[in-house]
Amino acid sequence: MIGAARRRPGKLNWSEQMMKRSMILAVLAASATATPAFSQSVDGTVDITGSVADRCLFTTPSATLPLGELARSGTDTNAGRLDESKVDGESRTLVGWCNGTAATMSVEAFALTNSDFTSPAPNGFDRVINFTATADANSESATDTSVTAGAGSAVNVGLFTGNVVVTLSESATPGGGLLVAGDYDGQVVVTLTPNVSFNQPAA
Amino acid sequence: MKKFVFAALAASTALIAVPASAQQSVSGDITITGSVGEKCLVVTGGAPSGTSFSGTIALGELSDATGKLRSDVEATFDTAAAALAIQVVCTTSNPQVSVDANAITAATATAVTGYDNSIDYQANVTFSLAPSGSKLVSNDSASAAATTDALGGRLASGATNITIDGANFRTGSATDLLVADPTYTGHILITVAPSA
Repeated sequence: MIGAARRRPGKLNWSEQMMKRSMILAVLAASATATPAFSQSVDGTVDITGSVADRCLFTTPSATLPLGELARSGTDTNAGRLDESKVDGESRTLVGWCNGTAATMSVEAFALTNSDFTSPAPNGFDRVINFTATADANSESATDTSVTAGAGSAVNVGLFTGNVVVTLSESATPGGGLLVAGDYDGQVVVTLTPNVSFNQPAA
Repeated sequence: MKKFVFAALAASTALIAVPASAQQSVSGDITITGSVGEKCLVVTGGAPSGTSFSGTIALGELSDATGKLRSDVEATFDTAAAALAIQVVCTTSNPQVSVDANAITAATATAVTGYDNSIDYQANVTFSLAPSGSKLVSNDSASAAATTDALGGRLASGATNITIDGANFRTGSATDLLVADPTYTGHILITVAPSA
């Protein structure tokens, strides 16, 4: 039996093995040369989110405007009546800002009223001085007269930071009478309203 | 004489026919080959999860009571960033990384004098190295270009190995107010490559 080629079922003879080995080597060689240089990078993204609420703020929220003696001096027929020059053109400056493009500004004027004499003024006398207040900010003007209750129409003041100049004008007493003696107190309220449309549910 | 020759031949033949008693061994050498490609990949929860990662740092309201940038926005950033668990593994000895920070800007609102709609900052990204140490790569959002650097060692394995913190958050001017906008967004882009 020396030299006899004993072959197990499924086994390949030598030449078949050599042929298969050659084929495997060829495939390996081919795959080795066909594999590109392997280089795999990683990319990462970190998102940063935030928000800025829409609002307005007065950094100089109040001012006092002392008008002094309100009645005309002298001895003529106008003596004792309102001296409009003491009121008209007088102004004070507030400072504030709004950080939204749709911010609005409105003004409400409250008449100068005699706080010492609270009863109705007798005939020929007045204890109330009405006027118009105008607030200017960011090249927009909002006005209101103290004759009617409530604030005037709001104007779109938008995104701004800086002065809000309040000026008085068109002062007058209801009856053009003599002013009742006493202290007169009035007020101008300026309201800055931010755009509140952000994050609001749809109508 | 003939008999002698025959006998000698017979003896000689007999010697040749005796099987050799010496053992003959063979040896084999099996060569096993393989390779490891140069690659980096993201690991999440101990398992490979692709070639990209993402996370969000929510800063919330950015302005303070005066309308300016919150002075503690950095603390908010760092707290949120610390919660990001970023792990990247690389098979190479000296990966190259890049960090590119982009400003946090309002989605729609524009600014006027005295206002700003953008917040710049510096992103600090720290890469942990094996067996110890770390590499800090920083990039400021005011810089258009990314910062690229080689780690100088292998990335640490087995745990979070990339951490982020922020610094120098600022508006164009310290007195600037921030314009209102419900959505301010910025990004930090990080790339880890196997090599330069």
